[in-house]
Amino acid sequence: MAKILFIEDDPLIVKIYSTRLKADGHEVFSAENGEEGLNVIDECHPDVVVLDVMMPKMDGFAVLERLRSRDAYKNIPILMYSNLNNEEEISRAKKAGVTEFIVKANLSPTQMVVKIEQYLPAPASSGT
Amino acid sequence: MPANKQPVYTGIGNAQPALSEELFKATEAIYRQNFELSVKNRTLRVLRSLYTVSLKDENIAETAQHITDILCDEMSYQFALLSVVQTENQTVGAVAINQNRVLKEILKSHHLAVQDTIFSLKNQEAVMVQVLAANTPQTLTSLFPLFSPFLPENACVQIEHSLDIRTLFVYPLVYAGRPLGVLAIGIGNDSEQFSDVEKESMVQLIDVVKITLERSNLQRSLQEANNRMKDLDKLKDEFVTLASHELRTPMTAIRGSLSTILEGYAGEISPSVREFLVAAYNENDRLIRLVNNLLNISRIEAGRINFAMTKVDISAVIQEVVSNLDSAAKEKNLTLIYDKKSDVGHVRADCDKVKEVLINIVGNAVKFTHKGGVTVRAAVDGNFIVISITDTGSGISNSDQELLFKKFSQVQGNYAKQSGGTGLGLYICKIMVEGMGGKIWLDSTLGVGSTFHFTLPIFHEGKV
Repeated sequence: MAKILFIEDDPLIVKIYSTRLKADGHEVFSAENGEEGLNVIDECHPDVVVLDVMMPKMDGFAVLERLRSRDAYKNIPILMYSNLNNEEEISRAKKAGVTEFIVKANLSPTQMVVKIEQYLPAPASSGT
Repeated sequence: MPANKQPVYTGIGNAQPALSEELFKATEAIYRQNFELSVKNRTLRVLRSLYTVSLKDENIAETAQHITDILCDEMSYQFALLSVVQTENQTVGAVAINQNRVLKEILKSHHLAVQDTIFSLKNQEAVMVQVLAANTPQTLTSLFPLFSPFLPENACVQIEHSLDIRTLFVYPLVYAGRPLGVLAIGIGNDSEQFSDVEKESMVQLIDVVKITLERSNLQRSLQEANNRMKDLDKLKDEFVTLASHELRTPMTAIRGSLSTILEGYAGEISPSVREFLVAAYNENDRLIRLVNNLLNISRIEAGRINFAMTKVDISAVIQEVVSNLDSAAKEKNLTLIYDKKSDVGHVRADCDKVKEVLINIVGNAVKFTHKGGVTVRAAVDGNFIVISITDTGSGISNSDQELLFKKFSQVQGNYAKQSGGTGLGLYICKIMVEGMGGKIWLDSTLGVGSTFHFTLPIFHEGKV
């Protein structure tokens, strides 16, 4: 069905979400830091990117800025999430072109999956 | 009649030396008094100038510069040097010298900035240290002992000649037993020619200089204390943010893992295992809420809560929150309804914060109600929309009602025991509602139930 790329350094979090997304029939890819994420995205062509803020090597903001500066990823839905409900962070992400900023602690995994699926292309009927 | 004239004439002649002596004395007295008056007058003027300086919020260097300039310009002293004791380093060092072009050039040609003249308070050779140690002034006829070893003797002599300095008075500035600094004054006369009235005026000036310095010191330590407080506050803030992040990361991972199991993604589990996992899930959820609330509080108290006020469809927000909490209500066999009678329109508010307030109040209502249900209503009232959350819980006593919106309040009565709350939620709600321009309150009857109300301003087009 659809492809989702997680750029997230905590494999447990990826596993929690991907278990559900795979059960719903989606394909999940993951990269454990920003640098890797920028490489993996070109290989897997995801429909949605889920991006963590705090990561080693290159943080979520840097990844977001680079993705938005490339034509191929100007309009791709990028959901950014953080454990911090930090207003400065949120406004920074909005300026850099985030599709939606999510505070992890505010959503249960099911709600998070629902959120992700909102941004996926409509299945089959769209003809793709 | 010449015989008559003679004695008169002689008399006058005899009287003349005495008279002229008296006249001379009288004139001298007038001169002296005139001089004393002029000194006193000048002193008064200078005292006023110094007083003005003492009231300015300037740093010590600026204050000292004003003092030395005022003393030379207005008291017509030839030279003024003000040194200040640094208690941290145990030194006394010059901070300002009167601004004089020739003096400046001489110092420059010897590559000396006057601020480099610093003596350890242990250096018994230094005149400034001696004066402070004995708390008695010294009178010098040369600048050299004051500046040695920082300025060579020939430079000192050059300054004395150029500025016409004949005598130097070096005064200790000691206030309430604490050495503050040293003031050196240079005059163009020998010390014997320095009159009592001038000495007296000098003493008065010294007193004001001391007070000015003391005030400047106090100002500085206040500033430093203030800066330290700010640094500490920032540190505390950073700590809370970091700690919250570090706490939230494992807590959300625990919640994710548990819910993955509970929702059946990891295979079948027995009812007894489920029971314990549900308990673990709920307790973990409580921890998450506590950390969220603590983080909110720390942000509120640091004044870092911002309201992004926009047009908010309040009915939609209520609907969303009610459906989110529906499963929690069903679990307890309670009804949770949004009793939407008519469309109330939009409010001017921060959407996320309205949601937080609603989740908190509706969540509380579900938590504290064991039979019956919870109903949410919205109605227009003047320029506001009132949102009311009514439950059929046990009600809240009047004394508890007063405490309810205070920080860490709910640890009262039976409210706390059954709740597993943090006692922060309603305090945060109150701050958020008031921050958006609304009010929050409740009506409650013991044994019947409670209704929480809060208001939000109606959105008017073009007035965001």
